[in-house]
Amino acid sequence: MSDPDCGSRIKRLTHLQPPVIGSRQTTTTTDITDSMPELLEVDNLQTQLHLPQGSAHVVDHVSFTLRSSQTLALVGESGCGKTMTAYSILRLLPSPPAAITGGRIVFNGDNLLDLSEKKMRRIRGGKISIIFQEPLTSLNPVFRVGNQIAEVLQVHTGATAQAALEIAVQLLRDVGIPSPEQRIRDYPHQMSGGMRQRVMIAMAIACNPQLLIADEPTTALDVTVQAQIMELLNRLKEQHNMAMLLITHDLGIVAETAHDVAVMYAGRIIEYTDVTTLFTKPANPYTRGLLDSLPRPGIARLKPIRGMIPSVFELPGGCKFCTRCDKAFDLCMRQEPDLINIAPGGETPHFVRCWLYQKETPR
Amino acid sequence: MDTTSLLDVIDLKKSFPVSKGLFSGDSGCIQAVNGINFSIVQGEILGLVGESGCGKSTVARLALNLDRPDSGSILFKGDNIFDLRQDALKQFRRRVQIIFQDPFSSLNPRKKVGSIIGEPLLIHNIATRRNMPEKVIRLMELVGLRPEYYDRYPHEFSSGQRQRIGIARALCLTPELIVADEPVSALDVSIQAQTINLLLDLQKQFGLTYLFISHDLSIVRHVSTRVAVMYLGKIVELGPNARLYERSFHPYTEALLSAVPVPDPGEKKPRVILNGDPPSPIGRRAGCAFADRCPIADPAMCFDNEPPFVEKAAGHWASCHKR
Repeated sequence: MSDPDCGSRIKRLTHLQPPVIGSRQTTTTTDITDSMPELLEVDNLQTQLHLPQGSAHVVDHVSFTLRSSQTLALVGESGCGKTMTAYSILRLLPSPPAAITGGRIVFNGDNLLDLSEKKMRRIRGGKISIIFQEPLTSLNPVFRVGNQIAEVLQVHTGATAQAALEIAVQLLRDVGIPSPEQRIRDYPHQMSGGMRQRVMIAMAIACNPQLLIADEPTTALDVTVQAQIMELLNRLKEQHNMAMLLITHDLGIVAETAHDVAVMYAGRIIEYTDVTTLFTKPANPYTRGLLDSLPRPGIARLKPIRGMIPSVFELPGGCKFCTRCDKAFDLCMRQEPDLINIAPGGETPHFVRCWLYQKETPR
Repeated sequence: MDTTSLLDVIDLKKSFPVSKGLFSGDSGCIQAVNGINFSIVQGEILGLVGESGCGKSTVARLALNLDRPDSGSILFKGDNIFDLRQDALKQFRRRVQIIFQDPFSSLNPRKKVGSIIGEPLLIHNIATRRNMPEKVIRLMELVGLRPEYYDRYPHEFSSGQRQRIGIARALCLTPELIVADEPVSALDVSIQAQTINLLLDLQKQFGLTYLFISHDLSIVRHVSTRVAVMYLGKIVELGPNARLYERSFHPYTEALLSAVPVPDPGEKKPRVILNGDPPSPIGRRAGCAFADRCPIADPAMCFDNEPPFVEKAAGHWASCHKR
């Protein structure tokens, strides 16, 4: 994806707030010259999972900010906590076994963690909506797709069934489904994977959300259909001025879609900056390892990251990546590094969690 | 056909009957593989790419003689594999092995790793019960599994390790051809790279030949010697790796390549966005299978005449009227 306003992006990133690390208190810096307020501020979010095999911090002190009409990508491999972060924002995780144990999720000035369940229900599908990875299991198989879209409108806008169905037809047309008047009468199983994902998107944008969470929206789809869906998402994002939190493991999609990127590993953000910096100057050895693992033209042999992704219940002490990192030294095994800005004077902040970049090492 | 070819696929067709509904009697037919020809040269890696439902996995099953075709033949070192009986068939099964996509469902959860890898050795009388563990441990070391895992069950492993078990099992009979059906699709990026390197190292070390099936074009580009592109049961383009990726003849290959997201925010490439989904393979239509989604389709010929699969450049075949 081309970036239409590189200048405003740089300006915006200069105001990107330093995430709060650990228990250390940071003062929130607000800039009055900045006209674009944060739409979403996730601050120090912690989510725990209590399972028979033990308890684990699946989201550990995660902080990021997102502004209107911007795309932030959360990238990482399976089990790194990216979906858990998204579900925590919408408070979709069943408790028990999951529990949000700390932090704030400020959306339009309100902390979502303080809202009643009733208020939260109005936000889900209203101001914040989500597209799930697997469109077949997230649509109800026994209802026609038109009625499923209409239900969202009836619940959130109080539209009559008839009016809601008419809007549903319009929405299906918006997401590029041919002859939507007929297709609203289809059941999910009568549609292809790409069409179902379009229905999910139509449902997600039905109430003009300010924030769209897309959880691996194209992972289940073929590559030509993936290109269609990503183009559709970007078009809708511009039209509706939505912010998008894009969760993906595909660095190609990140490079083409996102403005900012947060790389996650073992429930933590380990690198957080704008997309160009991340791909041109990746700093954390894990990010570099991920990029080196990708097959590209002209590369004779891939350079994989050694070892395997640790289970969240058996994380090493110190830096969570130290057991797989080629640059690890004794400090890495002892103590976990903070997420710090390694380009404090630069145009865009570049947050990295790695001892290699921390000038003053403790003890 | 090439004299050095290990496997020759000749005019292969396979269809599956489908019933349209529980109560309606009429049924259609999925032309999963609709007359394809290719050969795999000894020692090469032939990449087979295409989107879901294009017939890639049916080709894999046919190449392993797990399914019988409607018509056509597959020659392995000159012998039609569908005519093989008894000892000859058992020999063929030893020389051609498969690595499956899903490392969870392809390993028996009730068996220990040692017997999963070792069982083929016993069946083919290559090892005795006495020396089997020793051979299995050597194989496990070869694919990067620690020998102490010998007595563990599949559920104790991560997906990357399970895929290594699958690879060891495929290797244990010293096969000549390995059909790898989406071997890394279920794996995370960092594990994917490890597995690809392992497969390439083994290929060099043992002079193996691979039929490498994948939907991921970047991976196929990285591993393959030659690439075949499938669309709706047909091979629409086949050529040497580098040439096919740089200058493809078929508009479907072009669209497929342009749809792959590039992990480089600085690179802007023109994208061919295809309309619609891949059509259903049920029923047969005249003309080029890709015509209704093709950006350069010519109403005068593409919808009525099927384009022949011809050599457009040295060793580079494609079926398109327009190119």
